[in-house]
Amino acid sequence: MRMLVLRPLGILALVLLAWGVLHIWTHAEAVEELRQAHNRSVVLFGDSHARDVRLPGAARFAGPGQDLVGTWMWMDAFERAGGADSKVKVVVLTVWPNKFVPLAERRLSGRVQEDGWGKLVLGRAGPVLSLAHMMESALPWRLRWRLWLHAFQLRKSIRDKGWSCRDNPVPKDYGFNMGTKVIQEDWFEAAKVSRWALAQIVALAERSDWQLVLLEHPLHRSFLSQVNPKAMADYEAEMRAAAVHPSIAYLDMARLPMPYTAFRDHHHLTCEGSEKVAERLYPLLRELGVSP
Amino acid sequence: MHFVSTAFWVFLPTVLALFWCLRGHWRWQNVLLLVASYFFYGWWDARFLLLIAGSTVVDFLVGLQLARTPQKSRRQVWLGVSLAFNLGMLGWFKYAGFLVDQWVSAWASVGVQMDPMTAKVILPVGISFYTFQTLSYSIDVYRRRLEPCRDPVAFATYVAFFPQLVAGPIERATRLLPQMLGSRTVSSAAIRTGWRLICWGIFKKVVIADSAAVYANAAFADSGWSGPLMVLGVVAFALQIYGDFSGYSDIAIGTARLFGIRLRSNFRFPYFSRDLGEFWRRWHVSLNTWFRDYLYIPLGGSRKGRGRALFNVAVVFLVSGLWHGANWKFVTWGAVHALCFVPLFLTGSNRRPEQVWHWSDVPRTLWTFAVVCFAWVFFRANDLGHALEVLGRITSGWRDVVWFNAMMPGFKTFVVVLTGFVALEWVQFRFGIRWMWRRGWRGPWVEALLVVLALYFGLRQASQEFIYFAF
Repeated sequence: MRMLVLRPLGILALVLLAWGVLHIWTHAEAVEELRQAHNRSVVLFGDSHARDVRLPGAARFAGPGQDLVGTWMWMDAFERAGGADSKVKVVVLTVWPNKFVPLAERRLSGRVQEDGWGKLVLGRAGPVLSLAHMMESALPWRLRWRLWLHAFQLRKSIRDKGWSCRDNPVPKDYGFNMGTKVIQEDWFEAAKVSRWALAQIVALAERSDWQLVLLEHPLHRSFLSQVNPKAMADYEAEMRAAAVHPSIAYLDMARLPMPYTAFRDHHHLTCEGSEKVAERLYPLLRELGVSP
Repeated sequence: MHFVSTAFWVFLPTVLALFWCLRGHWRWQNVLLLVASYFFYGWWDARFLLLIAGSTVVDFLVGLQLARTPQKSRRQVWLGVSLAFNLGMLGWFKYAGFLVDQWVSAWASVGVQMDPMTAKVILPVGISFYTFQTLSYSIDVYRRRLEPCRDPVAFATYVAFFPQLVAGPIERATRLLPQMLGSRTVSSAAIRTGWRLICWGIFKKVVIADSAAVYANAAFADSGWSGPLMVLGVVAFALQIYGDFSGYSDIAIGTARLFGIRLRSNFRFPYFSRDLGEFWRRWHVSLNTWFRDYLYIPLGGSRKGRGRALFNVAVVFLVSGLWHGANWKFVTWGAVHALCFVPLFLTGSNRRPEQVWHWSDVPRTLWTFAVVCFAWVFFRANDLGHALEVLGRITSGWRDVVWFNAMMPGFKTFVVVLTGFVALEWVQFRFGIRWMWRRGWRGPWVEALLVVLALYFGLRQASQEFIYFAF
């Protein structure tokens, strides 16, 4: 009997010990990168959209499919890593409605998503996962468990190498079929966890010394024509409401008239699209005292 | 539920705890194992429990009737009932669609179009394994090699024992059934070995098989790989299927050990074989010995002349191919093995006692591995046409190799771990499994390391279903 219990417990204890040691190592590496980012005046957070933003001097913490919970955790760690000598003036966060749709919310429920994509996103939060995050009752317990488990991916950073544009525009008659839930359902109302994460990011910006720019990317007309109008309106209203605080700005380019050559798909931009975004972003950054 | 899932890791400790509470009461332990096994299987699709239950009832009753009936002709009838039920069930669920397709294609080739009303038949998981297990019972009772089981719960537990229910090893009634009919002792050594095998199996499945699958899938997809890159892809599949199936077997054997039950070994380092005969004594041992005992020998084996023996060998390989699935690619896979095995058979070298492996055996080992990999192309391809297309890609593109294609993220890490794995396999093969695990490898830190590596790799990549679940 002793062996029946002790053997698996011994294995489990050693695995937990290994988790602890490896997490301390990856966490230290991540914090060091975030500390170095405090030497820049502009820091960029977000998902794959952040790659389309032409900001050569900015430190970038982004990755494809990045969800708002993971982004909040990284921004929270970034805030903690800064000291009195931080040079950061502006933090740009790329946002778009898909961060609140049922698929995103389902991922944040912690339900099993065994494809590489879902796992990758969970693993990216690993290095900045803290005990405080694990104790956060607003997050579903399944998500917290999976965030903890996926810290075993031992990813050290989501630091992105930088902007590199691609010129492969969609055809003129481009269209795509959006999921029925995004068309029919009031998904923004239902997006509890994503909205909670957004609220945390806004609260973080309000108490920090830097200015937060919520950067809404231009969206292809095939997206805008299908998306549920009420959910979209609610989403935009919440973003505008967040920007009421003086330390937050909302640069809404979702409906910016753009030629089809500006898009690589319904939400990613070509070099031309990136240029258009930069034309709008740079004046705002200058206004905030930063030279892009 | 499968072994590498959260559900199983809640299920197993629960069953173990209850099993321990019932220590000293082996009949109640059987009831627990039976309920647990049905729960384990029903997790996929509870409807198919009826098939297992049906097979259990039929073979249990056939066994009792065989014991009561002295006349040979009536005994043959009862055996026929068991064969008809089990093979009929297997045939319907596994081969009905295939046979109808062949029938329609045959008529279409002479210009007659048919539109048969075919029902969509779902293949119940593990049906090929448990039907063979129950058949072995009926045949052994018929041959009077085994007394019929009179304890229905023990018999049902023998058929449905969850560690080996869905993908083997295919146990013989002569070996497993007696373990269900008496008290079992679970020693410290058995627990240690059990956990070690479970962790080693998980490592093989998650780290080796699932990582290799990334490259194998890329190669067999329409990736444009050719020449050495395709060879790399085929070798990756060889590693994938070995890691996957032997990993599953290790977890099954290890889990059974925790319940005090010994299952037979299914793999004995097959890729270190020096010829195909040795390979088949080391690969999927439980199936191959089943075919030997219940097909090759009843057909006459090698007792009826060389020509008949060759025919029997061909039948075994072709049936073995067909056992894997209703598709010509599997039949071709079996045929390739049969063709490559014939020279060994004719020269009698397949019967030579195994010598200790020596470094001078490296060329023969590599050649055997190459032949096995060649046959895997047919096994892995989508169909025969695809297999030929893959073979075409292997023979082309040797001049302008774009190695960049193989350099997917994590490739270097995988190569390092793979090298370590091959080294460990070789040490176990060369010096014996016990030798390695006794030389300071007994502590839980080895298992912990294997679990950490499995977590690291498993959480980073997409999960793959166990390959043999499809058979």
